[in-house]
Amino acid sequence: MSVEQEEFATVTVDHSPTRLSSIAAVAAAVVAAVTSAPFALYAIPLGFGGIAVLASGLFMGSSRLRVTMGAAGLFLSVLIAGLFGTGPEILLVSAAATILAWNFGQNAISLGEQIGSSSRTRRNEIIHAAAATIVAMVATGVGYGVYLVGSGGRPMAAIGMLSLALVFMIWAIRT
Amino acid sequence: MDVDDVVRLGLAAVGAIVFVVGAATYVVVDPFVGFLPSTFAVVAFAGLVAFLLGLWAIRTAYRGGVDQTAIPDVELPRSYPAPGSDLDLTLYRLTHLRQGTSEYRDQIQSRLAEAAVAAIRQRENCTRAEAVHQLEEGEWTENYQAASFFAGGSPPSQSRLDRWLGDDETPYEQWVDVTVDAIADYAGIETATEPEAATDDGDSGGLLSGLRGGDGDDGPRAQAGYREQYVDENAERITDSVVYNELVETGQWRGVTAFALVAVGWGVITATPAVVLVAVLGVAFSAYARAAVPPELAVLDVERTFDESDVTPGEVVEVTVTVENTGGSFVPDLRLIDRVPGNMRVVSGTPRLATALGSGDTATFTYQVVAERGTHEWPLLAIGRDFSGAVEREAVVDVEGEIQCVPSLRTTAEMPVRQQTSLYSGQENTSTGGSGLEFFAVREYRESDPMNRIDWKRQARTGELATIDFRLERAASLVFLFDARDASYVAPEPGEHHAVDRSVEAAVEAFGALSDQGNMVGLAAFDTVPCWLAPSAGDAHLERARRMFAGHPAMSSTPPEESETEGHYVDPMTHVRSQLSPESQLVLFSPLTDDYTVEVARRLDSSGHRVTVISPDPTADRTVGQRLARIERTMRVATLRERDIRVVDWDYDSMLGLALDEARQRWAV
Repeated sequence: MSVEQEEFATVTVDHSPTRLSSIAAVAAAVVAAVTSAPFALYAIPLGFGGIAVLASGLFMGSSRLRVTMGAAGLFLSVLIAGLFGTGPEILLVSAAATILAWNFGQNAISLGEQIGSSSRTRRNEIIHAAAATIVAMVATGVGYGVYLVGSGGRPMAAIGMLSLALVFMIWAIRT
Repeated sequence: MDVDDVVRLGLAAVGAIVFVVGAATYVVVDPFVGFLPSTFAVVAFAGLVAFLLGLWAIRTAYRGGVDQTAIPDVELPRSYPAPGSDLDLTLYRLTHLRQGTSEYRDQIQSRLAEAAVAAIRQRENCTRAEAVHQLEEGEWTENYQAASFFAGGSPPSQSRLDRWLGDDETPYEQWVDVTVDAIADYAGIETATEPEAATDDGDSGGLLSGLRGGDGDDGPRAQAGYREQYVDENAERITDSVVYNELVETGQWRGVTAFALVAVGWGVITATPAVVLVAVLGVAFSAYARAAVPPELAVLDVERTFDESDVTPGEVVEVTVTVENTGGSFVPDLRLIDRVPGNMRVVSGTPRLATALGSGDTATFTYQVVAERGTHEWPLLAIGRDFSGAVEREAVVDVEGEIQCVPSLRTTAEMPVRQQTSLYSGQENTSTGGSGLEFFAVREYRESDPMNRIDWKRQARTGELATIDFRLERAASLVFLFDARDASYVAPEPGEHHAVDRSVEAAVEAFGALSDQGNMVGLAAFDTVPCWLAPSAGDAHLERARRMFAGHPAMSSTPPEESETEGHYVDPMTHVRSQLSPESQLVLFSPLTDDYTVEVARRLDSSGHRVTVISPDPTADRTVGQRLARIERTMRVATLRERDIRVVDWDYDSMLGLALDEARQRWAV
């Protein structure tokens, strides 16, 4: 009865985002900001603001909205850097880091909600992060390869067709 | 294949054709350039469409949000509502959701009126008609607002200032609040001194918060669940022990398409090929998410072991769960949650694990729980995702192995027994003379009186024969009757033991003491499941009683399921009374949360069985409904006492022994 209850306190359940993925998300966000913001003045507030918002969504309470807003800020930073003529290699890395930061953050929150940050989640987090990183690396490599092969003056008709094809394809596999 | 899939396939086909044409133009310029539109307009159009679709995708992603299986906090004990939450719910529906206006108003009005009439009858000692008259005239209280509640008034108007200051109680709620407080005041019942401060603020119970959480609250929340749900409607049984719930599309990658489209649009419109190139990442991750295949979870082999499986309530048990992937494929994302039974608490370690399991790999986790009464066997929730986390499959795995937690009968609480005994000798004093120990009376000698009881001194003095009577000591035959209906599964605070658990704890304490004194004790419960153990004595009987306390479904520590309670209660009047022997007295354990139990006690009492009610008090005073429930219960206790039924009003925080001592003092007067 009441006496026994005081002897063993019930554990507290911590549903904050898991640590490892949160740190990975912020690290990826830093990479994304550093590779995009310095190339354009307008991108600086978006890039570093994006890190701050994303980190606040993981370390100050748990908020998917803030993580997504932070990632959106980073993405805008990438777009603006692209507008000011940043090279494709750097843009690809920056964009990949943005998506990874967003996904690691999501996974941290998801694990926090379902499993909690006081349980063991390390193996799960590492495998999830590794898989996503490999996808990003392969995509970056293939994209860069295509870019190298396909650059140079080409007819406008071809570019028009290819852009349309791209839109169709993307919409077909939309998530 | 549904419409969406067909559309996607069509789009992909069109895209592929356009791509082939474009690629061909790219490589072998000549034949195509002639008839294809060779302006920037097409490119710009594609860019604009991409950009707009991108914005649309952002909107859908924002609307769709992220979805995943909500996991209740299995570590914590389950919460039960406090009595009166039904009134709170009615009030909330009426004032905030604006449902069933007149019907709910009538319901609330009549419940308050019943409580007020009972209070007036109690205090004025008058008939019901007189009390109703007083109520209608509003003579019972000086509070004119409360008086007008029953006299056909209207709610007091709320000042604009109050509303502006963010007082979100509607005038009607305030009116009910004031009236309930007035009744409590009238009946002399203590409620929270500062009710305004104590009400509602996040504490109005899981029921209301569950109702409120329904709209616009993102993210899963712990179920304050009253009923344990393992499987949903569309669950599918895969093997004997594994049930799959419906697949969940988590939508974790929702929005990555927008990323690709916006990049394409932006890059094309601003003529920066490097930005268009960035879209490749969006495409890659969209494909990654779409290619997701939910993992097979039926191949998981789960084993659960306990360091001790035969325990008494309150003991700490260490639970070890081992999960092995016996299938041939890798499960990249596996989240395991042990569904600890609702009444047990985890005191160290955690019953959850997130890992990845290769073929033949095992994962283990350990935690400690405080065992509670009953026989427990529980499932494991396994949530599997693919690499990307886009699809989630939840499996409920039944695991073999159970804990038996049987209470030991203690002799800590001495229960006073009423003056109704059986024919067997025992230790209860009766008001009849006979053979025994304590002097009772001296009476005239009758033939066949035993020689050793003849008062020889008197005979020597006066020459007359007289016989000394000692107080006859007899065994009482008692039946513990439990009110284990749905209405008894209530507790004053979330997370506390409910009233049925409390009742059984009390019974366990009293049972041993009573049978040690040579009384015969039986068990019965009114519930959907018949439950009867005839009064008897002896070790075998004690053992049977112990097993019943631990495992009988009628006294179970989880409330009866909805489907079981539909329609048929076993009526204790017929079911129990037909088995009661005429000299049995009853000890009724009930929180007295409704009038039914009062009726049962009265009927049993009038049919010649002495009744003692032991009533753990589960009422709280945080909300209006809870305060009204407290008033109603106090009135019920008073009604029972009027009818000469003994009631032990047992405060939830105190020990049973104290409550019994207090009661004994009262009865002694």
